[in-house]
Amino acid sequence: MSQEKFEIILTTDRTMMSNHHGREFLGFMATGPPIGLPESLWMWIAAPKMKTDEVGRPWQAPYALRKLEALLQDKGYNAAVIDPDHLNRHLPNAKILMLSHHDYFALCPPSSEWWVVTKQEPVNSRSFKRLMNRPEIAQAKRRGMKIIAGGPAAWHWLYKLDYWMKWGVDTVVDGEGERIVLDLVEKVYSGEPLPRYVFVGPRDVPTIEEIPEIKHASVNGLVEIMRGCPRGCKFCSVTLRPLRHIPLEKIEREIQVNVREGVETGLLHSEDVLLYGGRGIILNPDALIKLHRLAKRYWKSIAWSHASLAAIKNAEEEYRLISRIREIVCDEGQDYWGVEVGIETGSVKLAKKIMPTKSAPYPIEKWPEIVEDAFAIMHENHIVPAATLILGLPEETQDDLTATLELLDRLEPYRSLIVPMFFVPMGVLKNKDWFTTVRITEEHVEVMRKCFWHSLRWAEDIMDRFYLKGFYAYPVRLLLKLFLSYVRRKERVVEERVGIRRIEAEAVAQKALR
Amino acid sequence: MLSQRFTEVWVIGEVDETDSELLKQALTTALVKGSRRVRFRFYLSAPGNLSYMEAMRHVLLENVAASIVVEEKPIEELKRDLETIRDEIIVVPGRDGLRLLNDSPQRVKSLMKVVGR
Repeated sequence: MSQEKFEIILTTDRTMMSNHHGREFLGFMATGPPIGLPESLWMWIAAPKMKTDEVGRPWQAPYALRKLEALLQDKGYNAAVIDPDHLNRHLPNAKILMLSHHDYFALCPPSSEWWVVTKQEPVNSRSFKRLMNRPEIAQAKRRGMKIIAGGPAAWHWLYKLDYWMKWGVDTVVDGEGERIVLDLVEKVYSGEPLPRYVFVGPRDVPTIEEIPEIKHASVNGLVEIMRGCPRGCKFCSVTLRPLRHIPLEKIEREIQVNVREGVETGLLHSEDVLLYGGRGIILNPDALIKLHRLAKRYWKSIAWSHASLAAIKNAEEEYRLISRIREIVCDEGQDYWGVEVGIETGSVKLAKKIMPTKSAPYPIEKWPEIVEDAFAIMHENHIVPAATLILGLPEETQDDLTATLELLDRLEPYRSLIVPMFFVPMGVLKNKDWFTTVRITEEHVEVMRKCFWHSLRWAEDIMDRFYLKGFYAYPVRLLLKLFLSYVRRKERVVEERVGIRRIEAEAVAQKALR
Repeated sequence: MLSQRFTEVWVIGEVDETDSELLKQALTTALVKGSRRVRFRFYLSAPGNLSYMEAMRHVLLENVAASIVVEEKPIEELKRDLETIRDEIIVVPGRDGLRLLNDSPQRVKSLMKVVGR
């Protein structure tokens, strides 16, 4: 058995250290509590254990951890990503434990929403707390190990000072970590005190050259193609970072790493995939065609992390680009691809206030039409969107919610999942009050209900026709169908109890499905 | 990153959430001077107690422009550290902070820009 032990351990909890059966959208179940199923079964569906080698290194790991692992190894440190079930082997020797997470304490959407609605703590938070409560970590801390926590949810620690102190987290890092992490590690190795909190501002983000290349496989082959976003939406923190396009050669090398380690499908990551290689919001069709041809040379199937609805409409109307990408992407191995998109609101008035350039190059006054046109384009081209709406934005009015409801009616015929999320202050809106249960209105409930029935009726179609086809996916598909049947029954019971009229549009949508 | 030049904000004495505005004022003072890297150093009687983060939370969550580093030091090291300052620092007096600064030499006082209570 290998005696290899690492001095710098990078890890996270099971809800993150999983490839979700090769279906990253299943990972969203980890943002909810276990409804209608035992937690162990819920976790098996949402975040099954990851294969590891003999020293506990996972086959696939979150991309951010892989980046830092590569950075530290490039600088000669004895560092590795380690699966949470194998920490014991390395903790006695470890100088530093580095943590990352999308949602440490379930404060992000949609976890915070599920928590408010169900009054139960989501499994991601439970799982993380279980990890940190392990006596072996406390023992290592007493011995002198340092704990550095980062990732997109770093800001959570500011609201959880009790856990911060209880677990002895030494430093929290918010922002792109490539430069600061080396400084912190040097301080640990030289015995200098660590800062408590670091926010990496725009001046200290890494250049393209400073961004390391992963050395081992990322979860479901995720590879970043860009950092930053030019649209400037006020609720977004990513838009505050400088825009950087990763060169194709770098992307290719990371794809090769994944394929070499047996991950043959991939996910192109960007805040807006269609802006890759462009200038601001002006698209670069050549770059996108090259990118997808490159990816398809290696990957059996491709997914997108995010795209903007305006870019989808612009890409197809001006360049026929969505159809052209479909010709590259869809073949005998793939007949659809998924993406996350932001509707955010159906209200032009609210959109002007919080996201005036989300619609660019189109005027924001056309926002509802842009959304519907983009949904139609996606439906025709077998792109399956998971779309978000934000409820409780600052200055939101009843008229804004009515406009959102009208837009939802228009979106019924289009294959999609639509998930409403409670506003969580980020970006330039970070100082705004949180949206809590005491401010949920009837209109909010109606939006949530429409989204629920829309997503429920399309979920089964998506599962059967696209997402979980095939014999091997049968157990997961069966469990999910049981779960959907359960929530459908539960929702009807809730609606009858509180006297909410059953949505007649369900009948309309059933017609649309035929 | 940490080897870059930072504008120093020293918070002397205990602070709590009601002192958020003072800390925001300190950050604004630094930003107005053109600084985009700010180090907040908290001199505490009980380092390790994170209650000052209740005050710092709002500053950190509202900031989008600057890199910010937050450090803690024991209050016993304040006098020695004051003797080493060469450039202007922004000072936020916490509880008892003004009293602790009163004994500083004139040279040091002339380098302090105090954000007032």
